[in-house]
Amino acid sequence: MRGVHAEEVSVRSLPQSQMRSRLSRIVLVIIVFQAVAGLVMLAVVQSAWRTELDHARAVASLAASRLSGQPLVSHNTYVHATLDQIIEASDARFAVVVDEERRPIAARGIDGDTFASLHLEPAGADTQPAVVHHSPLRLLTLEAALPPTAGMKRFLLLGMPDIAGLRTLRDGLIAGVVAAAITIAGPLLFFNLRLRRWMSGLHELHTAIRRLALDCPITPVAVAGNDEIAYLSVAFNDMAGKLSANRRALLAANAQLEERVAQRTRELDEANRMLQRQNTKLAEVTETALRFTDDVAHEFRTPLTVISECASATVDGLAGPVTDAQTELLTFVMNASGELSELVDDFLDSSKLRAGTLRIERRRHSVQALLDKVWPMLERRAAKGEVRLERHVEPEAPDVFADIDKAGRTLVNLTVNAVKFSRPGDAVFVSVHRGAGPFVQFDVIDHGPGMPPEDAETLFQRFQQTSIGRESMHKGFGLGLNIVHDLVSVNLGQVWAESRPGEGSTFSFTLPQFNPVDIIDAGLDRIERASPQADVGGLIVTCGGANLQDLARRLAHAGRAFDVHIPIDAQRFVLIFGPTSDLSRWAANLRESIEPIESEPEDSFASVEVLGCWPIHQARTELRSALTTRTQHGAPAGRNEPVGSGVDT
Amino acid sequence: MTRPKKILIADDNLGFLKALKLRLEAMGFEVIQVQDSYQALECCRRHKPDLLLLDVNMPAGSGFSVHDRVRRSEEIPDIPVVYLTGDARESVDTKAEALGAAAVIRKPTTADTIAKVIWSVLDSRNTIVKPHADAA
Repeated sequence: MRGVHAEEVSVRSLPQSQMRSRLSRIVLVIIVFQAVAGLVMLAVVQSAWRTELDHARAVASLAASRLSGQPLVSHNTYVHATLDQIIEASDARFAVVVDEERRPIAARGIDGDTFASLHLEPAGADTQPAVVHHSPLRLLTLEAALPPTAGMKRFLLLGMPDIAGLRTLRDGLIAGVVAAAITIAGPLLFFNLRLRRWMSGLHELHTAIRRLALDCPITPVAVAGNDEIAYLSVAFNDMAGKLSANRRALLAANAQLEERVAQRTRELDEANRMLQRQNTKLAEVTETALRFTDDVAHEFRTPLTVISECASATVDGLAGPVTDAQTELLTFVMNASGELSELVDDFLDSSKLRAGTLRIERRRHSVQALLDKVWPMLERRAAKGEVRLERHVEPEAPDVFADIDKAGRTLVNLTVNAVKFSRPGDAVFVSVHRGAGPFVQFDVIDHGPGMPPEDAETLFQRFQQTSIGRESMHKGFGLGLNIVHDLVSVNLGQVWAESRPGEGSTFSFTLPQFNPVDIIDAGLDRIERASPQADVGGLIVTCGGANLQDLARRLAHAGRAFDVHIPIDAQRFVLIFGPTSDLSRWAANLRESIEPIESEPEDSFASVEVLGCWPIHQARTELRSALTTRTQHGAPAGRNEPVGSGVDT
Repeated sequence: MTRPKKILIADDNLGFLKALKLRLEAMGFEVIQVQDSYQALECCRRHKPDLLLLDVNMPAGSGFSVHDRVRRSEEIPDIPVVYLTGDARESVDTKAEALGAAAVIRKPTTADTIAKVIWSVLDSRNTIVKPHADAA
C-alpha cells in the first residue's frame, strides 16, 4: 500500500469572509430582483389604472364638447344625440337608455352580447345617476338622466371600464408583492444566518482537516447546534481522536521496531564479525595444515627414492648375490615405495592444481601413444590385483590435444581405482572412442560392486566442491580419484561415472580432439564453468621454428591455470586466457617473455598479435572467425581428421 | 677402450648416494661420492670429474654455491652440472638456468633416469641444452 505523506495532501483553502460575502451577495441580488419586479408590476398597474381613470374622465368632457347644444347627458344639461353618436363620442363599450324602472328602452353596443348580459338593478327613488358595480363585465357604468319623453323619465347608461375594480386589483397586487417579498426574504434571511453558521463550522472542519493532513497535533472541533455540521464535527472529532490514538500507537510501534532492528543488526554484525574471525582462523588453520602436509609430502620424496633405489640395486645383485625369497621381499618393498611415490605425486599435483601452479604442456598426441606410455604401469598394477586388463581403441581414433602426463595420470588413477574394486580374476576394460562433440572419450570399465547411480552422478561434483575433502580419502576412492577431476579439467575435458550396484562402474573422461577451433571451444567452456561472467582475451603468437615450444613453455611458466595455448601451425599458436579484464597488461607481459627470444641470433623471431578481449559468448565467435581467417592464409590448422561440428556444451 | 666417465655425486643422503653409486658403476661410470659442498669442491679440484651431479640443499653450502665456484675456477670451469633435487619450486630451475646448469632432475627419480640424463648431457657436451630437456 502506498503511504500517504502529509506533504502530498493539499486541501484548497476558502477564507470564511469570502464565503460569507458571496452568500450575502446572493441574498442581496434576490432581494433587489424581488423589489425591482414588485416595482415594475406596481408601475404597470398604476399606469393602467391612471389610463382608465383619465379615459373615464375624458368621456364626460368629450361628450360635452361634441354634443354641446344637444339634449343633456350630464347632470342638468341636455344634449341631443343618438346612442351611436354617444358611444362613438365617449369610447364607451355600450350605451343604454332605460326608464324609471330600469327597463331598457333603447340600447346600442359594440357587442350585442355585452349588452345582452348587462344586468341592471332597479333605480332608487331619486333620479341621481348611480354607479352600477355588479356588472359581470366589471365595467364602470355611468348613468345620466335624460330629458323625459312623453312624461316618461329616461336615463342613459354608458358602459365604461371599471376603475374601482382596477384600484382593487392594484391594491391586491401591492399586497401580493409585499407578501411575496416577506415570504421570500424571511426564509432567505433565516437561511443566510444558518448558512453563516454552517460556513463557520465547515471552515473550522476544513482547518482541522488541514492540520490533520499536515500531521499537526489534532485539536477537537467545536460542536454547536444540532445540525448536519454538528454531526459532521462530532464524527470528525471521533475520527480524529481514533486517528490520533492510532498515530501515537504507530509511532510507538515504529520506535520499537527501529530499536529491534538496530538490536538485531548489532547482533548480526557481532555474529558476522565472529564468523569472519572464525573463518580467518579456519582458513589459517587449513592453510597451515595444507602447507604442513605439502611439506611432509616433499620430505617423503627423498627417503622414497632411497628405499626404492636401494631395493632395486639389491634385487639387481649390485650389492652381492640375493636369494629368491629376498628378491620377492625386496620386490614388495619396491612396489610399496612405488605406490607411495605415486601418492606423493598425486598429493603434490593436487596442491599445485589447487594453487593453479601446475605446469601444463598440452600438445598433440595419438591415442595409441598415450596408452602405450602408461600401459606397462597399468598392467603391473592389474597384475598385482590379479585382474585382467584389456584395451580397445577405435580404429582411426583422432589425435587428442592434451598434456600427456596429466592424461596418463588420469588413466592410471582411474584404472588403479577399477583394479582396486575388482575381484581377482575379473577384467578391467579400457576403451577409447569418439565422444560426443569434438572429443575423444576414454572409458575404464570394471565389474566390481558398483554404487547407486545417484552417488556416481554426484561423485565428481563432490570432489569438485569440497576442496578440503579432496585431500581426505573419499569413500575409499583415494587421493588418486580425487584429483582426476582436476587433471581432466586442465586437459579441457570432462569426467563422469556411471554405475549400478552389483554391476560394476564405468568411469569416463574426455580429451579434446586436435583441432584448434574445437580446442578454443573447450578452453572457453572451462573458463565459463569457472567464471560464467568472465571476459576472455585472445592473442596470436608467432615465433621462429625451434623456439615455438620454448616460448610456449615460458608462457606456461608465466601463465595461469586457465590459459590455453593452441598451435595453429609450426610457427604460430593462439593463446586464450581468462578471466581477464586487462588484455594490454597481458600483451605487455607476453612481449617481455618474447624479448629474450628476439635477442637470440639469426632465424629467431617472435611477435604477438592482440586479437581482442570479449565476454565469453562473444569470444567464441570472434576467436573462431579470427582463427578461420588466419588458417585460410597460413598453413592448415591440423590434419584431416573429421571433427565433430557441434560446439561442446 | 675409452676411459670410464667420472661422475661426482654430491648428496647428503648416504642411502641414496650408495644406491646410485652401485647403479651407475654397474652402468660403467666411475663414481666419486661426497656428502657436502666442501668435499664436493675439494674432489672437483682433485679428480676433475666429467660431470657434477649436485643436490641443491647440502651441508656447508648449497649445490648452487659449488656450481658457482666451479664455474669461476681456472682449472675446471666447463664441467657440466646436473642438479638432483626434491625441491619442486620454480626458483630452482631459474637459478640453475642462470648458472648454466645442463639439467635439473626432480626427486623421486630412478637411477635409470639419471643415467639417461648423464649420457645425453655428456653426448652433447658442446651444445646448449635447455634446463627443461626431457627428464621424464
